[in-house]
Amino acid sequence: MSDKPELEDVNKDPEKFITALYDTLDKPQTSQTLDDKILKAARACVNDVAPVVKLKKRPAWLKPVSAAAMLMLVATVSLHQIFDPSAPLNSEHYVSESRLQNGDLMAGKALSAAPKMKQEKRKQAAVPMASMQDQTTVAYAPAKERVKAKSKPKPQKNAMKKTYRRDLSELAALSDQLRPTVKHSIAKSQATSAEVAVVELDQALIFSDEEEASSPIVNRVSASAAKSLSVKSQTVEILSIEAFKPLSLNNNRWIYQKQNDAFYFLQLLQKNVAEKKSYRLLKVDFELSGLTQNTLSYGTEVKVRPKY
Amino acid sequence: MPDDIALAQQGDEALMLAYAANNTAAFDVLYARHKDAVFRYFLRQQYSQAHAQDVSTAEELCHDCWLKIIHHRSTYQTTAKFTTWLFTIARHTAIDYFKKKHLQMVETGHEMDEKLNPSQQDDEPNAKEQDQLRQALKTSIALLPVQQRQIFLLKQEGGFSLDDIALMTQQNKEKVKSSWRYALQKLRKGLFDYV
Repeated sequence: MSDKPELEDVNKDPEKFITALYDTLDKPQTSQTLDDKILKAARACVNDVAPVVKLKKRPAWLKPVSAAAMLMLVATVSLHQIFDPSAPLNSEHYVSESRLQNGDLMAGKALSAAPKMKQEKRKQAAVPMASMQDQTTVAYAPAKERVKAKSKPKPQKNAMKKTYRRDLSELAALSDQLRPTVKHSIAKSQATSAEVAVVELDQALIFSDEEEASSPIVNRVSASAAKSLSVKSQTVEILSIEAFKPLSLNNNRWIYQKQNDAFYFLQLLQKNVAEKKSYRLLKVDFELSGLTQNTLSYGTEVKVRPKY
Repeated sequence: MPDDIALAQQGDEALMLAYAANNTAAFDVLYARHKDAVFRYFLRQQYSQAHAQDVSTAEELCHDCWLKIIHHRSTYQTTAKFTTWLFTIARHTAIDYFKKKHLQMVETGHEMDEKLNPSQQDDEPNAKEQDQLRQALKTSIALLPVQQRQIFLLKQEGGFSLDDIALMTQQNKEKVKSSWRYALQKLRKGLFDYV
């Protein structure tokens, strides 16, 4: 009775009592049959390899026989071609000729009658076909005439075509004359934007390829656009992380100016040098701390730190 | 023989991975370690006068459970303990079985009282008191609601903590704790007449 749990504990600590009582329960084990069954299944599952599909072999005698047959066929054909290269391939015709050469006229006649019969049959068949063709030609004759009549060029239409062609050539000449002027006006309206200027530059390059870059107006516009673009890009320097590090060491002040999708435009006030300089900082590389994005306005001081 | 000794010293997870890599000897060791616990887990789910029938059902469930382990060996990952995986499969197997057989026993206290009336089971309380108590415990366990029975047996046979059981059954920890408490209360009530 040593394994008997204290019965009084069932009210004091039921968990302890029940656990102790549960431990005293008999501990049945699995039967040997079940063990064998499961272990066998475990092994069978691992050793279950897909059966190898064996290809059905051809009989051993087939190979030499087929090779010999092929060889004989090739030899026969080549020999035939060597000894009588002009011989026709049609065997029936060949046989009939050979017999005629032997003087067997009847056989030759009998054999040569076959092509004649064929020709007669063809002729008989051709007669109704020809009559049918004649009927169709008669039936469609008016329609043909109508088509021919339509296809004849009328004098009025010819005159219209001529005037149309003349107009086209005149228009082309006029467009050639107007082309530089139009380009000049378009370029003027777009010269304010640097991006557009880049496009115009590309166009100028294209024109130069087409030997039209000699136009002085186009050259002038392109040059001015390129100049404005270069000025814009040169004014605000992009600040890399490496270049930022020495600037961040001193007690320099960063003044927020503006931002776009890619850059923060900041002004650096260097205390040591007493100098202002504007920089562009990539948003991917830097973040502005101390202020939320909503409170950022022109002239506010911000703290800059690289993201990485 | 040295291979067998080396395998016996390895953990469950390593053995299962070895079996997934087609080492059948690893499975032998693994099966020997856990077969009885799994078997008893299934056996205690039910309790009837026909003990042989219970054993037969438990063996059937045991067989199904281990076959699932065998067939899904390649899906085992070492993110959890092997026993967690094993008893999760065992639990699902048991639940599926009882659903199929309509043996879900959600009893009322009245049913428990009827089955656990000591006067109906034995007339010699002093001589077979301990045996009666054990039988009463088995019956009480089998008569627990499915949820509480699963938690009780997972804790007793699998040796899991309530936190582990909450993870296994994908339930709230507090719910598992309350189910555990309810299970103990019901078992205590079932054993009260014998104490």
